[in-house]
Amino acid sequence: MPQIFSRTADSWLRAVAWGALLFAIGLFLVAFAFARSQYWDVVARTPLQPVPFSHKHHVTDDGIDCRYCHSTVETSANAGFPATHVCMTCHSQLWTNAEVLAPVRQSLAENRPILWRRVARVPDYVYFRHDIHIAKGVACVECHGRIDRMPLTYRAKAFEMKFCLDCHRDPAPHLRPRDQVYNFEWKPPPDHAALGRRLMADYHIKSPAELTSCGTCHR
Amino acid sequence: MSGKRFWRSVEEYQRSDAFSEMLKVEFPSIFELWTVDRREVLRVMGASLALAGMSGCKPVRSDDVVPFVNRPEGLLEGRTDHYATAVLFEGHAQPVLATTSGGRPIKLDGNPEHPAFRGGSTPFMQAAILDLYDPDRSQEPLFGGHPASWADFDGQMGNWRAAWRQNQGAGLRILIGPTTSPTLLRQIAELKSALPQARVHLFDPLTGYAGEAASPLQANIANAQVIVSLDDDLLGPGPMQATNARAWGDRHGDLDGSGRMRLFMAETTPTQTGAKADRRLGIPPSRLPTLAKAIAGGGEVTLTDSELAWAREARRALETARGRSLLTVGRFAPADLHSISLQVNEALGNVGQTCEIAAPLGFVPQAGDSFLDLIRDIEARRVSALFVIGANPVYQSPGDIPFAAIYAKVPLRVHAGLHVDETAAISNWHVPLNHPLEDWSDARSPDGLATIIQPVVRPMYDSRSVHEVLAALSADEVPPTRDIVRPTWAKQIGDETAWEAALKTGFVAMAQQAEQAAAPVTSATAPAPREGEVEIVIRPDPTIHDGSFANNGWLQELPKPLFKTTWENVVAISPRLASELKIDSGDMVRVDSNARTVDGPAWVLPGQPERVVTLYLGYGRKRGGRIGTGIGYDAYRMRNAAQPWNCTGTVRSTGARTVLAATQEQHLMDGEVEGLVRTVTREHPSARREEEREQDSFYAKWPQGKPAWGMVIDLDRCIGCNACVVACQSENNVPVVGKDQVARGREMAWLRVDRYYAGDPQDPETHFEPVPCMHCEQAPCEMGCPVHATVHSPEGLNLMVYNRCIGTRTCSSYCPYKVRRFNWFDYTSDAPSPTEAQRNPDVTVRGRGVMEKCTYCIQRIEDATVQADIENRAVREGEVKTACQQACPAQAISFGNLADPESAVAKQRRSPRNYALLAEQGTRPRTTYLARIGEKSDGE
Amino acid sequence: MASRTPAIPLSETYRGITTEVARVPLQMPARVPWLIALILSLALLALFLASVTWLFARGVGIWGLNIPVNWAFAIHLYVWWLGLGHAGTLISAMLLLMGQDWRNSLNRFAEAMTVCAVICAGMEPILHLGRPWFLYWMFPYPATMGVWPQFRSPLEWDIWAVLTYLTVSVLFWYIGLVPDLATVRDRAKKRGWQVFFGIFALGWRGSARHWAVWNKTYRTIAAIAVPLVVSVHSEVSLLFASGQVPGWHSTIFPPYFVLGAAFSGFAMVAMIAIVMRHTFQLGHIVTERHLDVLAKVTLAMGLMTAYGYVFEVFDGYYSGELREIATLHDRFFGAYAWAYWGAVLCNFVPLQGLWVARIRRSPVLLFLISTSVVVGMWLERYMILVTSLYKDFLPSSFGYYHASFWDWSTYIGMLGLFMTPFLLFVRFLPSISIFEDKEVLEREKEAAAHG
Repeated sequence: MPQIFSRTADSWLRAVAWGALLFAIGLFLVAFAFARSQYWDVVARTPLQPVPFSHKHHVTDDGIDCRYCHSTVETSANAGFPATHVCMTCHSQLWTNAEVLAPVRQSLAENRPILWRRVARVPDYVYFRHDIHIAKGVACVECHGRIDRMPLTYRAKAFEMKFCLDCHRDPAPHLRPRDQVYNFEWKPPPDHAALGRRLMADYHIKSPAELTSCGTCHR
Repeated sequence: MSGKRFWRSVEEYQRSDAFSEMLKVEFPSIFELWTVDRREVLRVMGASLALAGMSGCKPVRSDDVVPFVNRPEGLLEGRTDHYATAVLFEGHAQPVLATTSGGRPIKLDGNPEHPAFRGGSTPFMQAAILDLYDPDRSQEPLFGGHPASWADFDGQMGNWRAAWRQNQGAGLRILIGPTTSPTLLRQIAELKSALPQARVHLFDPLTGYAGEAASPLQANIANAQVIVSLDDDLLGPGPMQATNARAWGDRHGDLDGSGRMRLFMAETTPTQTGAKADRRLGIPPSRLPTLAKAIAGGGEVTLTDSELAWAREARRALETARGRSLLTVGRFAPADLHSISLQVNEALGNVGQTCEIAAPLGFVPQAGDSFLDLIRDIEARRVSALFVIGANPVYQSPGDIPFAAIYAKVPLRVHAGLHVDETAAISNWHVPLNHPLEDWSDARSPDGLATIIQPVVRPMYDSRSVHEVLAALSADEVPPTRDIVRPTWAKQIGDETAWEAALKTGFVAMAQQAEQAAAPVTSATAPAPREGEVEIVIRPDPTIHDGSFANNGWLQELPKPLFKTTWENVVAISPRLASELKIDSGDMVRVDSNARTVDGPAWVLPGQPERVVTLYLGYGRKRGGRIGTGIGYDAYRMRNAAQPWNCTGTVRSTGARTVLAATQEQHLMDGEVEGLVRTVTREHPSARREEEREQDSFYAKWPQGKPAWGMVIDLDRCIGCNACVVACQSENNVPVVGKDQVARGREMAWLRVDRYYAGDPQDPETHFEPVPCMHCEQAPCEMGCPVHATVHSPEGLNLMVYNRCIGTRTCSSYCPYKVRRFNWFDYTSDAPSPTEAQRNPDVTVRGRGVMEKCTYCIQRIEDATVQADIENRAVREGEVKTACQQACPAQAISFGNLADPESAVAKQRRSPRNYALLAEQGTRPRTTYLARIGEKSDGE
Repeated sequence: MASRTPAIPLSETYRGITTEVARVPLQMPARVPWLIALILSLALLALFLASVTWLFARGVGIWGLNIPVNWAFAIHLYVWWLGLGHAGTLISAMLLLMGQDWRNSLNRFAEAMTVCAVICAGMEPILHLGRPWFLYWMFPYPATMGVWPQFRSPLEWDIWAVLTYLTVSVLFWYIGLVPDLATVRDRAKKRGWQVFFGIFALGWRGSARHWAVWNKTYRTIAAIAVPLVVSVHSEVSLLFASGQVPGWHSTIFPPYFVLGAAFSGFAMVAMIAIVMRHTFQLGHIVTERHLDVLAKVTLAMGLMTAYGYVFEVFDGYYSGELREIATLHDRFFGAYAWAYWGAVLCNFVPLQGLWVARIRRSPVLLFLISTSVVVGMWLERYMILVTSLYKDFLPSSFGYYHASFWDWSTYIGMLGLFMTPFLLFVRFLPSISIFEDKEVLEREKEAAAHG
């Protein structure tokens, strides 16, 4: 009876079998990596804004405090976006006819809001509150990164659930004295751990069990 | 404690055999091929509608931020504001506190500072917010049914004004709906002086067409220790429901019965008041006067033994509590009864204590200006122009007045209202009115206080206030509404600071001039039925009322307190008559009276007087909006102008059957309800049973964390009014799913009020039991979920994480209380604009395929917790109020921290009346109940 | 087991067996009936796909579900399908280990049937999810959410139970198939068939070493499969027993479910065996003795299931729990009593016929009885699910369940999903074990020689 297969057929079969296995594993690893990639998390991308606003310029160069524009950050869930007239408080004097600021002037003139693209964004079913985080000594930089060095604003951290949980499971390392919350240059003292423990006590930070209870963020 | 057998409907009482049930249950299934298409009504609602003014120039993407150009003073994004104002019910003010978020009103609650309402609310107050966002509201003036502009209308108005100035307004008639607005009354007076020939008629279908005045006695049950009510549904729907319920709550739920109120109720058809009464008597309307005489002690009367016994006891009770008792008579009762109650109360020295003689608060037409007079004048061609303002006579006229035809005889017909309704449809002009929340006005609450109604949102459409429309009749230049309202109060509230204060507190004291009571002219005595006839009682619908709420999805889907049916009105019929006529709930019956008939689904109603049939108003609308149109039957057709509330006639089965969308299952066996609703007496106050003692468990007890949230519901206070249900729906973005879905057992209400009966179906005990999630410490639902979508919080909440739920529905299968609700379809995304604007931004809007349930209003808990946490303190007692608790007018629900022994809820937990639902299941619920206090306990 | 009548008549020759079985895939007798069956099942498959599309488009609301009865067809069919599958594994694995020769004519297609049934069973829970696209959340994978599934939940165990069962069944079936694939490969004339069977025969040459390795593997997997049969359906039963719903919350459930499963399974195998031996004239290989034994096993399983029924009743009364008893009465006389009595009727009444040898050996009667058993078990699963849910604790939330059109279409369509792959298997693979039957004949002949 004539041979159906060549001599190498067997080796091919094995190769294919192994290949399939490796491919499956590879596929899983790729998916794993992709889910953590900057692309998927929309990190470090600067969307096109109506006005090329530079935090670097306003915060670092001009030394304007975060709260000047994000005025409700301590009193409300939302940090609050500056109303046009807030921009114009300065820009009615400075750069009064700079081309880039045209949309701002137009907005004031036509009494029509400027549509900014949101950069730091959590899903609708996540109820994040700025006020409590500020009150408990969690600095802007913890979530927003070195925004004071951003010529154009981008998302610095991957806002995955894990990112929130890491902190809620062990807040101490992420705490600082309340008066340093807006200070991007703040350097933790050598005994950061001790400081963390102290602040945990002083600010009555809840237990991880309470902080990680689903109802803390989801309703 | 056996002996008392509970049951919930007559079918259940008279068992039907398994086989016939099997047929009923199994066989329709195969044929229901394409019926899956749910909520046809709401699908129509899906037809979106561009919002005038709100349609943006540039599309706003989901991740856009839209900051202010100028931030309004004091507005905090992400926080809510509260404004004291009022909504209207039968023209009366219902003082509310409106919650707005980002400038849009999202919730209404009773105004806690109002001395009479004290924060209590009714389903109607709660649901009024949805009427504001009703997609079917009239949005522009119509001329002959075609869109026109206010400019056109004003132009016409100019010419008419000129003419009226000539003839002093001869031929000009105004037909106005019930109102208590001091400003409106002022304007009417001014109009009359400007145009002496013009006449203003009142159209008030709920008081009477012949210009009847309401009862001269203004009951104030707060001081009453004994109340004998002759068909007066004190606790049922009405402008005084919230205030009465509050008084009721204050005088109940207290084991040492010193302050307890005793209630005698003689009713011609079962009501909530009857359900809660200590002594209830069902009596046909024709015998009510006799009963009244018996109480007044007026000579020989012919009554049945039970009626006589009731009358004697009532009489005795009234006398024992002289000065603190009250004999009250329902608005539906004939005139002589009102005079009887006046005499009796005066004799007992109750006047001034539990009731006073009060002049009517609302607009009362002068003699000869009733609706019937208007009809006469139209027939006599004396009416050249008729302005119908805030009324819908074409729909609400009695059957013996063909108003549509009569109306057509008026040359100029102008209708002003919120909707393009039946009347608007056949008017030359229709002009849209503002919703009370959109503009300035004022009105008086039934207790006599006035509320200045301030707008909480800019008018959404091109509409005007009723004041502007009325002013335009005589004035060429109409000032903005505020400037019309403000002068009314110029004397009383001079300076602006006082004005601001009045707005802030939400009420203004107002003298209620009490002269001698005018002899009330109410409808004549109910006719006695001839042989083979039944007495027909006509009442407003329990949730749709006179039909003005027909397009309100929340109220349509709200189970009627006693029937638990939704989306249509029924014909209530007594169990005996039903078995006599071989009628079952859901069978179509034809009611025939004076050669006028209606067909409606029968509802066998325990406690209904034997030969009495009750019809309910408010349905059968022809132009009631996209969901209010064409459902139910129109009972107005059966009314007689002379006698709106009673008639006689016949009832028979048509042989047809309909599927009623009832939220409580009908066919049940006896005994199953034992122990679910409990009654104790002052002598034996313990509701807890021997076998329910705290038992050792293999499971670790749930830590009583700080705080440990818990709820206690007092069944002695609960009046089954459903305010909590609507409040929950409005607070938690609970969708309306439509009749078909409710009929399939898919209603979404997180909080339901179960209704149970006990005893003889002819004269049963009725029990109400609100059932929210029990937040079990040993929750069966939690162990079933494969993805941790329902878990327990350290504070003892049974959390439901919608965004984690994959919809295995194991939790609901395991839940012994069946309080979980499932999104079988996408119930939310096609809700009609602008109703989404009402949604609470702090509560996730659930999508298709996820489970949902009561959360104890976690958004409120979180708010309070965070606030307390920022201030480094614990949450204070009373800082967190759940929506249901806040709404409850009878204070039946308390919520708080069980770990704090001083908290109200912890105290109530220690009451002997405290018991848990299905305690034997070992679920250790955080929600418990306080047993009802009765004169005999379950055992006896 | 030393039995008088040989499983395979001594008149058979080795070559005879080979030709008889191998001709089914190679020449395919009964082309027409097969084609008709295939077309039918493809039609059903189409219906299934249509129903599922509509289901995913609209949501599970298209079914007759509600609160309280929020589980019905999908779950009760899940239990039913999985039950049917059991016999395959039992027959092949357990009887193999117990050295029951008669199995050898039945095991191959029984295993195939198992695989198909388990595939159907596996579909059901996915279809019944409110948000099936998040199914993967049930797997413990390192998620960026930083959360894991809940391992307390019986549903979580379900996934693993079914997946393991499916994998093992497929392996067992395939490995058993290898030597015969080689046979068919060698007898195949067309190049295409040679390659097709060749690849799947994995270069089997039938060398002593091949046989040694094969034997070890085959028996090992059999040893793994047997406990699975018990574990899988016990686990499924916990899906109910874990809740405290009256009528579910009982310790009898695991054995009750396993036995019921085997019961329906054997009935199913009997049905298929009879159909195949009829259409492909395999009378000499699937002999009356096979039917006889199958019938006996079915009878035994049936009686044990009946014990489960009896015990459930006893259990209910013995507990003294008011609600347990209420539910029990409800099953007897309630709105769904037809399901209960239907189950009792179909499961146990015709079954009694199997005490008679003539009936056991009569293909027609056995077929009818088996059908009634399969139907009966269908009703039982339905009854257990619905009668417990529709009246549980609070009378206020009692509610009836009516299966909707889409409930039925999804179910009936799924029969296509079951039949199509099975028919393809019958067409293209040796559906009865050739070599194993030869072994049987060999042993029998020896026995005859010595005896």
